Amino acid sequence: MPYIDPHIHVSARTTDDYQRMHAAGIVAVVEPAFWLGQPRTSVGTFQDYFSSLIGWERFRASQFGIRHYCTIGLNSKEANNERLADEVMEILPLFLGKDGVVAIGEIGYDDQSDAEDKYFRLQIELGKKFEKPILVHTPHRAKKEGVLRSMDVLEEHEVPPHMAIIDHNNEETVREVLDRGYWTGFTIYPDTKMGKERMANVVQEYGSERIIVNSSADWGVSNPLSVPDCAAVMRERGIDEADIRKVTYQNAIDSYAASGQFNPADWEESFSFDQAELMEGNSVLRGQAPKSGSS
Amino acid sequence: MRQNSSSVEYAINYREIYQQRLLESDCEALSKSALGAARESTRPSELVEVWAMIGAKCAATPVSQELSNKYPVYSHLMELPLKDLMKSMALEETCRSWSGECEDFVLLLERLYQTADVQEQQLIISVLPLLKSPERFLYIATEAARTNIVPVFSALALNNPFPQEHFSENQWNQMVLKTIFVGCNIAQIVGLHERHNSALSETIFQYVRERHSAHRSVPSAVVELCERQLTESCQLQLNTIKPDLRKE
Repeated sequence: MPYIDPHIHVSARTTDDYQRMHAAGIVAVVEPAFWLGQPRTSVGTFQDYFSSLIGWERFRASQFGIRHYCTIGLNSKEANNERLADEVMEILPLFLGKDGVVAIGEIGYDDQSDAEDKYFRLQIELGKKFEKPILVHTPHRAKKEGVLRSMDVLEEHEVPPHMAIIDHNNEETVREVLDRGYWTGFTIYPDTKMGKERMANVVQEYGSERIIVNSSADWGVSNPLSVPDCAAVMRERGIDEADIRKVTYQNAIDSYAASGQFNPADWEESFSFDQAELMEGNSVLRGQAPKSGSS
Repeated sequence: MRQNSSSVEYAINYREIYQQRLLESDCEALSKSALGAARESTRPSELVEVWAMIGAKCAATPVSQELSNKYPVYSHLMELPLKDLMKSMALEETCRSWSGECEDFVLLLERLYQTADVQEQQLIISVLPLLKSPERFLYIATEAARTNIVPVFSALALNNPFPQEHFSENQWNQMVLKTIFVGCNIAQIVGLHERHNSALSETIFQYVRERHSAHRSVPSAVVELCERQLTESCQLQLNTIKPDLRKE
């Protein structure tokens, strides 16, 4: 069964991870622009980061039979450096219209500061201009308040709910986000956020409509196989295959489809990969035996 | 630098292929308006907007067998999606109608290249030989020669007359070596024989020896290239390992 991980920071992962992900059935990933664990200090490093999301990482993923898409945006943490944030806002339009950019994101609140609010709103407007869905990061601290506030702001800016994904939900926020009509993302982390068992409970209680599972795996303790692992737990629970497919594959497609850039044909039919295309010496393969196959 | 015949021929065929692929599509009106907008563009953001418009509106149209057969040497331009070909022609249009400082267009193109995605980098590299005074874009071509992204490297190294005309001997030799390392077909390098030199034969000989020591194979075309200008002593050494050299 094919899976999509609609939120994973694969730039921070190894080629072992890519191989395991491909073996586990992950056919496509979306890498939202985020921070790198520490704040950047110049706009050039943002530009290079965005470029790598549409360049090197896209190529790197393709070598392992995985289609790579991304979202572009100024994350909430770094929005607090206003001088830099203004410079980043200026370069976002260079990237938002590119092929394979499926949303503006991940944007939203962290500390829920005034600066975060300012750049969240500016980017919502930018997303509307580019007709892109909006991927909303919700805060770890004061989660529920942050989720509600994010949705209020989206409504103020007249974003139709089907054009926004509210991410990192939990049992406390799921009801309200679903009721207000948004795509409802859940991040499965080994220790924090949601666990696999809890996720299965949510699907049993709320069904599969507009619910999306992701790993948000990055440079911290996280699991790039969260999506297929979670599907396995749901299967053990006897959750219907059709529901599992929705929360681990189809809803991801439907939520990002409005961008016009997320097309299953890209990975279903024509996508075959050939690692012999790789460079020895300075490529990711570094002289390992090439593998050929199709995803 | 004077453009030599391979570059002129490349440019003529490139433009012809674009016109004929347009005829086979429903995108002539789009091309007209996009190229018109490109003519007015003076900033990277404006060209990025033109590109986004092309990307959103240009439908994928398969190339007819008849057209493919007409240009056997340019199959890579047939495989390029029409929208990418159109984006590259928009770039050419901006370059041609540029009325600002010459240097400013170079900066614009470098900025575009630095913020381009994999496909866009390929089309920028493919269209370089069509641009006025292409030697101005040596830096971009050098970046493409250095990239780890094979499709972008191939857009420069294979079927593209730019390196033959503008690369120094060292750049040329590095590019040919990298083509061999990447496993691409060196026969597709434009000017492979014209630009060949004894230093390159020597370096390829080192490579062949390394491969032989590691019990790895070497394409026979590479061995042939190596032997073109090899010193006598190296040739003698090569002769001793040739019998058990694994060829592809």
